[in-house]
Parts: sequence; C-alpha cells; structure tokens
Amino acid sequence: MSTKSFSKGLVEIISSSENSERVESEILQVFNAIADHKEALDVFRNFGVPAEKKIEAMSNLLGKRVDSLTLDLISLTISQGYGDNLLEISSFVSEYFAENRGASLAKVVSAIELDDKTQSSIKRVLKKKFGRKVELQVEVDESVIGGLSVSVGERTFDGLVSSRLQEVKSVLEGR
Amino acid sequence: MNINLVTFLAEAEESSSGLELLLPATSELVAGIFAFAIVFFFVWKWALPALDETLSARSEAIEGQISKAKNEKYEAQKTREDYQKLVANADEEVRKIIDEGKATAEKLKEGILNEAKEEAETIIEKARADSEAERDRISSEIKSEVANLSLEISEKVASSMSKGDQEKLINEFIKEMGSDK
Repeated sequence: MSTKSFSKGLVEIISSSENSERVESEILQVFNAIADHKEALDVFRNFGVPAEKKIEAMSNLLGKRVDSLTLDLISLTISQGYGDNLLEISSFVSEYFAENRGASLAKVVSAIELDDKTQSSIKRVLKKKFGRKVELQVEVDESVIGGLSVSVGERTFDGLVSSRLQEVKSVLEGR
Repeated sequence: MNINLVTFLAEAEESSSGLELLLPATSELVAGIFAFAIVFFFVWKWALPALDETLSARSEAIEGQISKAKNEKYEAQKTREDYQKLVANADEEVRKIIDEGKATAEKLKEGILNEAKEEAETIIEKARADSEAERDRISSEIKSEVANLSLEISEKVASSMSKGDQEKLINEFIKEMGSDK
C-alpha cells in the first residue's frame, strides 16, 4: 500500500471515531515530533530494531497521555513499516483532514513561532487569493534565518531570508 | 727474192705431208669419239648431277651462312644501336632519377614541416585551452569563495535580527503575498 493510501485510511478511521479532533491533533503532533527528532527518527528507520520494540517504546513514552486510538494508530503505522515516512504521512493526513473540512492545506515555514494574529493574517490573505478556506501546517526551522515560505498545492510563495541569500550567492557566483 | 719464194714453196710442200702425219687414223678417231661419248654419257648421267647437287648444297649452305651472318650483323647492329641509345639516354635517366629524388625529398620535407607545424599548433591550442580552463576554474573558485563569504556574513547579520525585525519581515511578506497576483 502506498503512503498516500495508508494516510487516507488513517484519516477515515480518525474521522469515524468519537474523539476525531483530539486524535487528529495528537497523531499529527506525535508524527511531527518524531520527524523533528533525528535520533527518534533514526530508531524508527532502523530495520534492525523489531517493530514490537518500537511499539513498546511508543507505548511507554506516550502511555495514557494520548487517546487509546492515537496509540493504536501509531502502533499500526509502525507495525506496517511506515515508521520512516512519518513526515510524509503527517503531511497527507493534514491535507485530507483539511479537504474533509472543505479547506486547502497551506504549509508554512518560518524561523520563529507564528502567533495567532499572524496566522490569521496568512489565512485571510490565502483565502482571498484562492477563494477557499485555508488551514495552516506551520513548521519552525531556524535554518531559514527569517521571513516566510507558504506552499499551497503546487504553488509556493518564498519570502525566506535563506532563499534570498542563496539567490544573491548564485548571482555572485555568476550562475 | 726468188730464192725465198722457192724455199717457201718447198716448205709448204713439206708441211702438207707433216699434217697428215699429225692427224689420227679414221678408225682411231671413231674409237676415240665412241670412248669419249661413253665417258661423256657417264659424266653427264651421274657425275654432273652429283656435282650439281653438291654444288647446290654447298651454295645453299653458303647462302644460309651469309644470311645468318647478315642476321647476326643486323642483330649486332641493333644491339649496338640500342646500347648507344641506352648510353645516350643514361644521362637523362640519371637526371630524371635525381630530379625525382629531389622532388620526393622536397615533398617529404614539406610533409614533415606541415606535420610539425600542425603538431605545434595543436600543442599551442591545447595549452591555450588549458590555460583558459584553468583561468575559468580559478575565476569560478574565486567567485564561489566570494559568494560563500558573502553568504556567511549575510547569514550572521541576518541571524542577529531581533524578534521585532523578524515579525516585521513576516508581515511585509504577508502584505506582499496579498498584493501579488
């Protein structure tokens, strides 16, 4: 099964559950947290570590802090061998949820945390631009130095300082 | 004078009887003629043809030898003429060979010179290309070095931005994104 199909399956299971909002939020947080931690990601990508051990580690780590369905779905994801595609799954899941709510998903990259006011401004501008509701998936990455990058579907608005500097570098190199 | 005439007449009378003495008798003459005829017949019948044949063969042999000698003489003459021609042409031949040798040597010299020239041009061209490539490589390296240095400095400067500057940058971008078609 492809990552996309598996993600769609997860969304359907979550949507049909009673605590769908909670599970959605938890599962995305967990996936993004693991994907953001290199060491944790290395453990999930390591084929030498049995799936049972990975599931056990996750159970011990999350315990009763998350909904049981969240834990079950994380265990399912790991046991099915999707442990090294968590970031991709997280992205697909976010997109499907947004679609289910009649919205588009905008992936935003910034060097700092974006406050609610800023996020609302972004949503407002994108809604005006694309004519439909937009949900944000914000990623904080200090390596981009400053500015903002917004991707909706195939379209990307790149205002990152790192990208500008790369452009300057290319000009200086005469490319 | 009368005496001489008498003497002469007497001698004439004496000589007439002497002639008769000299002539053979008729029977001897007939026998002689007969014997001569027999001998003549034998000579005519056998000796003459044999002699003729011998003479004819001898004549043919001599003619053959003469003809052979003529041929040999002709051949010798021809050989001599050929030899003379050969000798006469020898100088021309030698000159021709020398000229051909000179032309070949000239051609070889020209070929070697052209080859050397082409090789020299190739070496110069390659050296020029190498030099240009090296110059481009150094130029590219310098550009890259300058670009990296500039990027490093810019990153350091940009990294020291305050939160307020960051927010200002983000808000400006949002505004720009809103106005961008």
